[in-house]
Amino acid sequence: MAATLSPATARRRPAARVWRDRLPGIVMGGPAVLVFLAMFIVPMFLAFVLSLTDWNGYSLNFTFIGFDNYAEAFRNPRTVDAAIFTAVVAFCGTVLCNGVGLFIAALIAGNSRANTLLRTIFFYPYIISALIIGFLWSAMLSPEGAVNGLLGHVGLGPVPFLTEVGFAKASVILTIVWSHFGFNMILFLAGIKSVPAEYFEAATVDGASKWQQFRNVTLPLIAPVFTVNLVLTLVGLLKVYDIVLALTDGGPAGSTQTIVYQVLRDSFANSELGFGAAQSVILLLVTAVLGLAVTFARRGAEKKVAD
Amino acid sequence: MIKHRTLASVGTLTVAALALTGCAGSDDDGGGSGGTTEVSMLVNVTPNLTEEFWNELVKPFEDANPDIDVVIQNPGAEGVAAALPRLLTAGDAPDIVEQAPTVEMAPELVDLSQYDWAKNGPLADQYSIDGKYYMAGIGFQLQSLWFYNKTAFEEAGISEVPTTVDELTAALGKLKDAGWTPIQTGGDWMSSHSLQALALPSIVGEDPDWFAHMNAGDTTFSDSYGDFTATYADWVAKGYVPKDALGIKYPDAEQAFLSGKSAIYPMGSWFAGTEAKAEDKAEIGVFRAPAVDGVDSPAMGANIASPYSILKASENQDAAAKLVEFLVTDQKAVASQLEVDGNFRDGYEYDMDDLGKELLQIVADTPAESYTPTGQGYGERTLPTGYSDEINAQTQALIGGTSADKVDAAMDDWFASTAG
Repeated sequence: MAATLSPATARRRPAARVWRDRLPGIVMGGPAVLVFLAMFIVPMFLAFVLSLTDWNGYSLNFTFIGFDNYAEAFRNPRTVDAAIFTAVVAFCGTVLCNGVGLFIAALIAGNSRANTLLRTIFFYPYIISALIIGFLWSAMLSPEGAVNGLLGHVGLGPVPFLTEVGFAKASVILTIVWSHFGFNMILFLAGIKSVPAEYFEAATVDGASKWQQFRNVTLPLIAPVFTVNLVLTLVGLLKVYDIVLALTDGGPAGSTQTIVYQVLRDSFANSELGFGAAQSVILLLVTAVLGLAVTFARRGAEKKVAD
Repeated sequence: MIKHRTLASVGTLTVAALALTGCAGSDDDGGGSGGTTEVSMLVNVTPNLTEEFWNELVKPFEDANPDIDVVIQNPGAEGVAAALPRLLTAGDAPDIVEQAPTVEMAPELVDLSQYDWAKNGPLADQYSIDGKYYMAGIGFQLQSLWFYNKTAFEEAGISEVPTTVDELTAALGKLKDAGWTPIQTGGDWMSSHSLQALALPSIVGEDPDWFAHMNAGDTTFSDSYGDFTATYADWVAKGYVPKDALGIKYPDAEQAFLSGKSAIYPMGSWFAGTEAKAEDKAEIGVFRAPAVDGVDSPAMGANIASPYSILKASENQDAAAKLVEFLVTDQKAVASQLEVDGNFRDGYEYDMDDLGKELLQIVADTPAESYTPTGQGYGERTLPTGYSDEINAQTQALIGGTSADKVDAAMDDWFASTAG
């Protein structure tokens, strides 16, 4: 019988040794897994349980109401409007943040002092608190703010940046882009800097123009960075709240309320914790699905780099 | 119960965490000292109502009751409304809370019906829930008011304050013709204040059970509010309500009116407190929001000032009741609370200017049954959760040029969606 043992079985190590080898990994990784379970998985599960209740935040005697809160989330016009605006912010913001970030990164990728200064300037808005940015632009875009003051000096009438629905939505998106593109730019810069110089030298020898080098060398090689940027921006913008709070407070006419703005308002101002939890769970699922979808969609581009 | 509490506590944090990926912490307060009963009071701490003010307010009570130590709890930036659920679910509830009771809160509150000072206090009946009195307050915050610039009225040739909606509309026209910005309003929460000041005196004046009828589906928003949204849209179209008002923040709107840049300012009586402190200001008067012709007793929107409730979780309910009685009946304590926040109560005067005296007269002239909630309401007169936000958003739509019909339809749809 012993002669029939496969070579793999023959090489199998004793169980005690296997566990001894695994022990350091378990000891070092275990606490992190426990913290992750305690701080993320368990609360998420409890949030899901709460989303099935009518808990108002005061009484401990809530009742389970099944999926009524989920049905309400899809029926409530304010929640639906907030979801639509959040989708618009996430899509437009992701496209613009990455577009502008990539464009600027490509322009200032060189090693000159001016480029170093410009990188600092462009990245600076990202490190300012979103609330401060919101209040800052709220003051500048108000009817009597600096921007309308400047427009007045050149003979242009006041623009209702924050008081007309279309302008207010655009103002929110552009303010978000202004505050966020520096982050995308830095990641793109890191990606561009990691492209080996030999590739560009070879392309130059082959007579490729700067645009051709960018399109056929830089872009394919920074595909993984692109994916990270897209996912992080998309996920971040699906949760946007603080800039909206400070810039428009969801107005005018509730037109700039985002889903997180709605979640917090329903949960705490309106004492509908169960309903807020349901919206949070939906947001969590949508965020996860979109994040995974973008990651899978980008697999092809990343595979080319790996190959 | 313990499971519910754990679920609730963790859930509260989780909803916030899922939404914001923020962090939350909690503080543990120390216990009371030996020999005395410690009564904790969760109160709103504001630029007017500082911790120092609160401690000075309760000091005479502590002096008179050396066995009771009052601890002022500051809810911090989150405010009482947000802090209370967190403290309740954490099992760390205060003895007294300064917040108007709601139907949701009521099961957690002590029924104060046995105390005359609670049953006979300001707006006691309006705030009662199922016939039980869960709070006692110190006075009135009037809501249905139009403050006006006396110079503007003179220049526009208006000698008498309007007593009907038609007269008010006519006055706005005269003010516009005289070159004034007729109505000072703004964005944020204050947008709907003017629409409610226009509508509620008539709607509730004609139908005191309007809140109940709305909830029962006996009337609709467009049926009851429709004439007033139409009037408001007309005001917007004629420029009486500036379209750029939505870009104006509350403090800027207040300052614009105080400095004489606009003629009429729909605001609550607390504005008188700001006006009293302002130095370089226009000459300002006030009139109660009028109703349409034919409404004999216009309703007056009002909130309770400094409503105190006692938590059922309190182990010191008798001492807490003693403290609340002091806060809502002691002449000096009530007057100082009224004064610091610009509130009013007949029989409790403090040093006030002419505008304050006009407001006190309005309080004295208003029958108790004429007071009505505004916004989402309180006590048993409440509308579905989220109404205040919705009426504010739709008023902003009106100011932005949306037609009254569309706003009425949107509100009807909203009520239908809340009805399930």
